Amino acid sequence: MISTFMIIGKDDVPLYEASFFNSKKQKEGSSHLSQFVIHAALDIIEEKVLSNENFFLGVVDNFNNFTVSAFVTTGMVKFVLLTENKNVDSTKAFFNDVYELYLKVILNPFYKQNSPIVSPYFDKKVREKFSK
Amino acid sequence: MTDQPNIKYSPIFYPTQEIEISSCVHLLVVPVGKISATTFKYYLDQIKKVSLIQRESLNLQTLGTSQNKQYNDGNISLKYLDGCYVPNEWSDFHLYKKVFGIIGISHFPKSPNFKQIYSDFISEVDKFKTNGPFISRCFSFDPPENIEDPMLSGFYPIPMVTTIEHLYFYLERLIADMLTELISQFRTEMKIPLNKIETISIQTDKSKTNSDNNILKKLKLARRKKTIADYHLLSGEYKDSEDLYKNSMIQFNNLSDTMFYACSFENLCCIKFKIEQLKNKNGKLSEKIVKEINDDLKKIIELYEKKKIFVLIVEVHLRLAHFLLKHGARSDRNQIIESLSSAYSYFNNFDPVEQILLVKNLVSFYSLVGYKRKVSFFLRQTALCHQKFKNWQIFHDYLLYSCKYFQLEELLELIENDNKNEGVNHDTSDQNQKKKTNPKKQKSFNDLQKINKWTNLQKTILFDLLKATRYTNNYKRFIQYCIFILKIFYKTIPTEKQLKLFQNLKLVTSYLSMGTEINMYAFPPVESIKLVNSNIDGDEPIKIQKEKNQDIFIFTPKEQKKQKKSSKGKGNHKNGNSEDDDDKVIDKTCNELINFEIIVSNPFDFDLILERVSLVPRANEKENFIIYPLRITLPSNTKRQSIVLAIKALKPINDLQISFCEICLLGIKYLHPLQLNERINVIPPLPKMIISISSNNYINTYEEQIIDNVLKFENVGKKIIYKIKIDKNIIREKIHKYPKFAPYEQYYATKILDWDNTIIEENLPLLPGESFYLPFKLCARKYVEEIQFLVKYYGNYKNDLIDNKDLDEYYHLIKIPFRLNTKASIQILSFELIKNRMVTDSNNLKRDSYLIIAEFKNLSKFNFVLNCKVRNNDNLRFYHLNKNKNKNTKGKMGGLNGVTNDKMNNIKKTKYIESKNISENNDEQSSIHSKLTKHKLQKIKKIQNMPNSKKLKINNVQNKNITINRKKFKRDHEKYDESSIEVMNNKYEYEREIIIESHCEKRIIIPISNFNLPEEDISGIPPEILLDHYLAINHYRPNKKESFELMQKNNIKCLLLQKIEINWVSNLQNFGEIPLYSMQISQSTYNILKPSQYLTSVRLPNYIELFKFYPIKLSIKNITSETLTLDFVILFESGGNTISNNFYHIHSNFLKTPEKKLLWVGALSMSNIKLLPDSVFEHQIVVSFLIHGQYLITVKGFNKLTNKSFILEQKMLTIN
Repeated sequence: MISTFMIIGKDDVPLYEASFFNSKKQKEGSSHLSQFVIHAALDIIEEKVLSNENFFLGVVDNFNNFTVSAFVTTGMVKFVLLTENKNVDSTKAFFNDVYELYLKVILNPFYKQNSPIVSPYFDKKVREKFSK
Repeated sequence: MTDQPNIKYSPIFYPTQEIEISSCVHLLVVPVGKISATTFKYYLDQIKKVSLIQRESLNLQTLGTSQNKQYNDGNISLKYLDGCYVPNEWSDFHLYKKVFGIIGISHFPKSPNFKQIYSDFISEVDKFKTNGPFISRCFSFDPPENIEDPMLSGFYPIPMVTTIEHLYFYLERLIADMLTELISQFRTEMKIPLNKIETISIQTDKSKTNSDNNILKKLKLARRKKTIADYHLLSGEYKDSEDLYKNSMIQFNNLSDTMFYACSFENLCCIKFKIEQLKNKNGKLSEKIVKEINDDLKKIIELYEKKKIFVLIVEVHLRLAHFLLKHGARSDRNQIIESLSSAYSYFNNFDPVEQILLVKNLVSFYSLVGYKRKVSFFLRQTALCHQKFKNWQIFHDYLLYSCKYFQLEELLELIENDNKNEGVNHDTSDQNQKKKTNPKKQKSFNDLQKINKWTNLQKTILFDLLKATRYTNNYKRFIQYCIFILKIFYKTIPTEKQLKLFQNLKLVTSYLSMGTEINMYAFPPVESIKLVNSNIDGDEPIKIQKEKNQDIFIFTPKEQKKQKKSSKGKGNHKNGNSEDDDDKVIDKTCNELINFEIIVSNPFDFDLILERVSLVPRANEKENFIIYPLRITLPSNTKRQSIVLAIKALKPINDLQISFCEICLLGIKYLHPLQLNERINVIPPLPKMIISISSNNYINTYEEQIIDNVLKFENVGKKIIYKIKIDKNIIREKIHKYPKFAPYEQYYATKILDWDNTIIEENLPLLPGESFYLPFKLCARKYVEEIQFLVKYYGNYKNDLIDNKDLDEYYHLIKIPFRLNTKASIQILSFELIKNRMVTDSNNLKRDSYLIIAEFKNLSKFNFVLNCKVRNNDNLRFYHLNKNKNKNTKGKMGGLNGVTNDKMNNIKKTKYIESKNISENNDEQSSIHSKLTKHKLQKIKKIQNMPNSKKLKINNVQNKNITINRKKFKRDHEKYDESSIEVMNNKYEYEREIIIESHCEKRIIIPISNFNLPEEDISGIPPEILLDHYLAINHYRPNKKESFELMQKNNIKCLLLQKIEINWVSNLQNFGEIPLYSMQISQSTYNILKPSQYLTSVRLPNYIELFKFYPIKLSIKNITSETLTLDFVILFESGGNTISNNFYHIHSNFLKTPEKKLLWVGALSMSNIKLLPDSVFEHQIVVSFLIHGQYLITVKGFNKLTNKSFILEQKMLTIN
């Protein structure tokens, strides 16, 4: 399984997906399992949002060695990261950085709400932030 | 396929995870003899209802008195294992996992031999019997009443009972007896001395290092205590077991026997729960107890984690989750999720069977929690576990269930519907077809594309499903999944893979029989299906709307709403139904082609050959139709391909239902449901008529040109036409749509299209094959852009007898439009009427004769010849101003046709300049005419606004300047024979025909003698015109004198329009009429024509209050030089009442004052009043007004000599 970051909008519509490969082997393998795990974690995210005041929900689920961390915006857009990294602080920092980038995207008057984010700039920046 | 493992029970993993499970006695239920699965399941379910037996209902006195009184408060919980059982490895450790009995179920009607059943049962018991307490019973259900009890040990025939309660009672008693025996065996087991019992093989930590016999002995004793406590717990003796557990736990703790310590702790939790449950009869636990049990279970997990016994850890995790789910608060949900997540974290430590049991447990837990996505995830995990055993069918089924929450609901719905309808014959049940594919729920192809974005996830599932169907040889499903993948993911699938899928599809379809129906709508994708209205005008039958007899006393808001709706949508309606209506009805006749346009697309990278595309009508109506199927090839990447499919109904059908559009591809049928907004009725054949015209429908005309044409009506059908009704529809240019026709125009509008209805009547009924011609006249009116004939024709399909007068309830409507491109022709620029002389008529009465001085302009490129006549009477003579006569142009219409273009141009120029010169030269001499010549309306208005002194001057000028050359004058009042007339120093010459050249203006004089003036002949004006005039008064505030004058001017104009007609003939031989309605009545003309014999004044009080009497004074002065006799009447009008123009009508009704709105004293009418010249008649009435509002007071006169009525005075009174 590979580290994957997804932004999920209203009605479970995936707005953005980025997979982060460490090796070629990983790249060859399919990313479908990441989608399964992230999709399954959405229930818990929705549960935890109710009892959590912060945007960052921390680790919400785990699968084998991987953890699923989540960050939910006020508009109920879910940022979900599936990674082996157990460092909560770095995950939180990553989410905050991506949130800033996301805000810039939604401020764009040409961006339609709840539509996929296809901006190459956004993709580049997210990958940069993850590699940090 | 490999051998299927028993995945119901595992020797390690225990499936049921309830906290009270430690106190449950497990019994195995097995079928004995011949018994169907459903019957076994039914009786098993009945037995399962007996899940709790109160200790007090057991016969325990025979076993001796109990030490603790609480015993009788306890109960025995039962769990039934159905069919099979695998002994659990942990049954010595967890005593409740042991099976303590077996119940056999046999069904007497199938297995009537008791002895045989009994022997079969004994052999079953031998299979499962274990050492220690074990009981067995065999129930034979439904034996006849008269059969004897075989008196076999443990064999009980249960007779057929009428009610389930009765059966429950039977079973409860039998199971209670069984348990009494079991408890007795438990007691015996408890009494076995310690030295005769084998030690349980689990060793303690200390025992590994220290083999001290003393410790082992203590350990054995402690474990024996724990076992006895287990028996007490199973027997419902909670107090004894609690004491023993506590005791043993101290010993286990000392001996560091963590496993048994944890097990005792676990059972102690169960006792705590059971005792608490007994205390609270509603079953609710206090928060404190929930917390305690929660903490205890967590501790137990920690203890098991120390020993790394994964099965037990997972079991307690699940038990904790189950406990919190049932008894915990909302805040405990996080704890539940944590427990479930922890349980799943040990997934990889189990073998495949245990893995299946674990994930199945998780599925049920998550579905209880309400986590749909988690359920889907673990359903897929379950499927993957089954894949290890190559159990492809189960793998497929679990995957399919998981689709629901992976946004593949459509697929699941499709398959589920297909499963339900499998085996149902498509031809026999139309309703099933509807159920099969509910069009409302189905999303369009494009919608599916937009929604599904979890592409990787969905593709994985679909390809797995495809794999499973390939292994199970389920070709139909394979095709369905293949198509679904192609439909949804064709964009993300590379061309090669698309082709591979299509080839697989081709291969698999070859295994299926031709014409197999696949419940996959829209393959290839059908974008839309709609009814095509292929009918040209006249082919469409229209239902006659019957007027409902409404009861005015019954108010129905629903009806009112309907009416409002229909009135709003008027114009856009067809057959009286609005377009918004759900049930838009379309009528088609038998043997008429009903066409549907189907838009299909092929987004794939390969061509599709649609072997058959056709419509499928309702199943039971198939034989009533002829279907026209098509075969087409859809090239790759076709976005829209339109196919028109036709169907023909052979019989009349009320509400024709076409259920599906059937597409056959690769020998497989795909049905796409039809969702039409219209309702189609097929009605019997109607007559058919063709109407043809000799000319084009697009006509270039001149204003007021009259066109003669002929319509040919031909009956081309097989039915007789009994009635033809023709109406006309005049469509005006958009900018002139409002306001409507002016009153005089309205009168003219009646002449726009004219035909003779008697010709139609003479030719009816019109037999098949017959035809007739109808001549008609069309007048091109300004601003009219189209004139339509609306021809309705009716037949009689019920009975084609000529005598039968009952017409069809349907008719055809044919519209024959004539688009008009109307160019300006001759326009009237000015119109003036002047008095000429007195003439004596046939009755020897003297009357004035008049001259009309009119100026015209030719706005067209052609020359026109004018001809003036009194309407429906003789032609009038023309005199035209011809001061500088030009011989080239003198009155030769025929000659004009022969003139060359150059000459024509010269003529035009000459005449134009000449005309202009005329107006300029005469400027000083004739004030009024020169002004009129210069420019029309504005000028006329200026003259009208001049002060009175000037008006008088004009009149004088007019009278002085009229001198007529009477050389050829005959004493005939009808005709004028003068060769010329001089008016205001202008000499007008007589001409038989007046020619107005292109772009020229010409002034002409027309003498009139037999012309009734408006003051004497108001009644001659068409009533609708008068009516409109009176209505028009309101717009001009009729209390003012000018408005009244305006009204009178309009009256005069109407009269003139009725009387005079000026025709034209162009040199292209077109003919028409000059639109006189655009003329303005000048002040001087008005002065001549107005009824000015009397000077009337009505004096009203300045201020009026209600209920007080006020005088209204009327004075009438004779301003003529003759004595006049007069009748008059005073009329009050209020709130929309209108006054008729007929004096007698008024006279007979005038006393009907406006609905009790006023009271009056005095005469409202006087007759035979003789007025000498300059004498004044005064009259007064006293009026009291009762209601606020506006009152119109009109004084009408009636001249007995002339027998005509006229309005003397009119005033408006407003009472606020």
